[in-house]
Amino acid sequence: MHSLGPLGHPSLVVALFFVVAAGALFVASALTGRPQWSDAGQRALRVSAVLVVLATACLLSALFSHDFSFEYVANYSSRSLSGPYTLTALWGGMEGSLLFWTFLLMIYAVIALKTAPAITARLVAWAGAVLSVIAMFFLTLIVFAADPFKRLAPIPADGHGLNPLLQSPGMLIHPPLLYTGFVGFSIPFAFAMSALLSRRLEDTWFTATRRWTLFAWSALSIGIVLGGAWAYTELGWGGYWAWDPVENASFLPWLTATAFLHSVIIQEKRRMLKVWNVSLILLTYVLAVFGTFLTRSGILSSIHTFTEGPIGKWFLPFLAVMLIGGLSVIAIRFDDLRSENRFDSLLSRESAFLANNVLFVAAAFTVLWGTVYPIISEVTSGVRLSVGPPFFDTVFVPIALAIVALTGIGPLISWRRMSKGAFTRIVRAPLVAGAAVVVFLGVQGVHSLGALLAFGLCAFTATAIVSEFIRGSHVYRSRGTPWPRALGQTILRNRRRYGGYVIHLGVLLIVLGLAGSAFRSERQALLQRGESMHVGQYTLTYTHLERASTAEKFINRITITVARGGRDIATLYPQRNFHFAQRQPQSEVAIRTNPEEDLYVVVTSVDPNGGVALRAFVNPLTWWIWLGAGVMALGMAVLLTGGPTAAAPRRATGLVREPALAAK
Amino acid sequence: MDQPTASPSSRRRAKFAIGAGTILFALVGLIGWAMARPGSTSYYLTPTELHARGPSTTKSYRVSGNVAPGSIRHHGLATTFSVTDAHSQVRVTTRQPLPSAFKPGAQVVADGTYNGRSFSATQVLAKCPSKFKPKS
Repeated sequence: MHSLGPLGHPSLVVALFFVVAAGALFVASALTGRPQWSDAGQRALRVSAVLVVLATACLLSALFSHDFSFEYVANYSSRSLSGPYTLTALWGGMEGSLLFWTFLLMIYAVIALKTAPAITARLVAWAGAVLSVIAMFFLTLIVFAADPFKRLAPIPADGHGLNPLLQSPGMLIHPPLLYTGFVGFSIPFAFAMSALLSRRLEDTWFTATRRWTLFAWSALSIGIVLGGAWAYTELGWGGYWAWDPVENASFLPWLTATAFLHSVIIQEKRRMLKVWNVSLILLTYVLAVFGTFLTRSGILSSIHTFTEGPIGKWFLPFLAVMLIGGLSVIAIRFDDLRSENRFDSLLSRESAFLANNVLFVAAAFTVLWGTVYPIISEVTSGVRLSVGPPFFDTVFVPIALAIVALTGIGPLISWRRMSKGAFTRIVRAPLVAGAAVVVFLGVQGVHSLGALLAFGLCAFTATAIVSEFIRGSHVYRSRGTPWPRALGQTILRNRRRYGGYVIHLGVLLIVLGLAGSAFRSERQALLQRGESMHVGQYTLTYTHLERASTAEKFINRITITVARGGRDIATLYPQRNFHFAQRQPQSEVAIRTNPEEDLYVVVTSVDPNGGVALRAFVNPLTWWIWLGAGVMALGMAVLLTGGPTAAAPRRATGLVREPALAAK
Repeated sequence: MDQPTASPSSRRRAKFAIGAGTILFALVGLIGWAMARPGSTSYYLTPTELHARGPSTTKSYRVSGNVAPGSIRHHGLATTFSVTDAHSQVRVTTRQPLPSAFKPGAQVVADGTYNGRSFSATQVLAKCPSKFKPKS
């Protein structure tokens, strides 16, 4: 029963004290230009970080020693909860997840400030000040409004346990990845604000934090896909994305961050779009905090909302301060942010990047609109509305398809300008490939316009990217290097460029999988033992029911024989269990997956006589979504292992015609 | 070398304004069109508000409240139950599977249409059970 728990709250109070001191020292250093005060600020921040890590360890200690004298431990864990899921209880509730957020923030802040390049001393002081302010907010929130170390009396014998839905391997990594992403954007945000405040508006702020941006973006991307995978394998409704406000909350900063990752390239290469870039990183950070607010304040009636806490009134002022403060700083420095170049031609890499940005921001705006419209409607007219998936599908699909097309065209176009003739030459092969796919599928009987466009554009863009790889590896192959090695060398020599292409290929595979959902089918049936149902080309026969009991749950394990074309091809074992601690049933999905299609079976009820209600889905091409995420992760690894200088040779060639064209 | 091109800045600005205007117009149009499509938005009502609003053949509703204890009936794959807000209740029929947290007294949200007598749900969601919230 004894744990380190009682040390938690005092550590946080002292940590808050040190963070205030750090903030004051950073501001003093920034205003006076004395680097030693900034160093002192960093030391204070480090002490604070150690204390936050200690507090996190205290909460873990309380969770693992089942110290139910803490309300949080009693609410989110129990004695029968297995070890790894006791760890997930750290972020399973609001208070713990805010502590976990602060834990990540402190660690990132300390590392980012410590490893910032030496030339950026002044930048570090202001960035430290911004990070201290953010940390101050979260620590204040934890200490005064959402204390995970709140005591409980009388002490219960056991806790309520963790929601069984959250007891899944996906939930071990999905939330930490999302938080890594959300919190990671604090670093480029802090350095951007610092660049504005210190008037050091050259490239330093984003080159110094490029790796942080990429890291945060990568974690967020993988986190979002894992969330989809969790929904798919745990929730049992046959899909992976429902445009739920909580899903949108993670998707919004992803959209603006993706725009940012692309548009900083224009600033780096052409010294343009400076206002746009600082605005995008501000927007990304504000959306990341807004996402935390949406998921944690209970403002939206979402099935995901764990608890409806009292933190809403804290988050809104913080968001307002960040947004208004950020915009004011941008406005004050507006004249320093003038572009050093202009758009020369509509047919240029710059324009393609700009179009990419417009599309990503438009996508973010439409998703934001649908997400907050119910709140606006209720506040302004008192009418409670909900905005459903049909809205999001309608607005998002056309924008997403335009982005896919641009993914293919953009990298082929040269900087500054390109002749129409050269452009026609370069898009000819991708166009032929795309058209061929559309005609082929049309003949095969595919008539959904959205799906035809999606598959056609995927083929178009894939051809464009593959041709880039072929051109890139041309040099090596002409020296007689065999194919796979030539390809590997191409990628490793210019990781930024080809890592990006690998990520684009991953995205295309995901789009392919998403487009497959246009052809899904679903059947439901009530079956007695020995009876069959049909879905797609499959015949499902219910053959056995096994019942068993463990300490946590009562298990109904159903055996389903799957036949296709009169031949047995698989056996599936979906479950319908009853969890004692939560007194609720829970379905365990059974999935037979392959590149062609998933067969997805859920038992939705079991009656006392052994009859079962089955729901079966055929989900074409879903497999490709997970493969695409894997390919994206590979591309991210290539990008993250490349040095910041990897692109240096390209700066020289940026103003001449692209090698891609010169080779023609 | 890197000088701005000769085009006068007013013409450039006009072009930029036209471009931005077109994009904004297209975006607003897209959102407006999507909002007007059937199923995009639905009124979020309590049973009392649903009765006050009355039946509709075109508009979809989302009714929320608690499952009235003792009201759940199963007929094959279909289930009927009453959703109550303490003042009035509405009978809900659905052929869709019910969520794990569905049980007497649970807080639920049903999406569907209302014909004046009963509510036909295309989806039933349950709020995470209150067990995971602190008991006061």
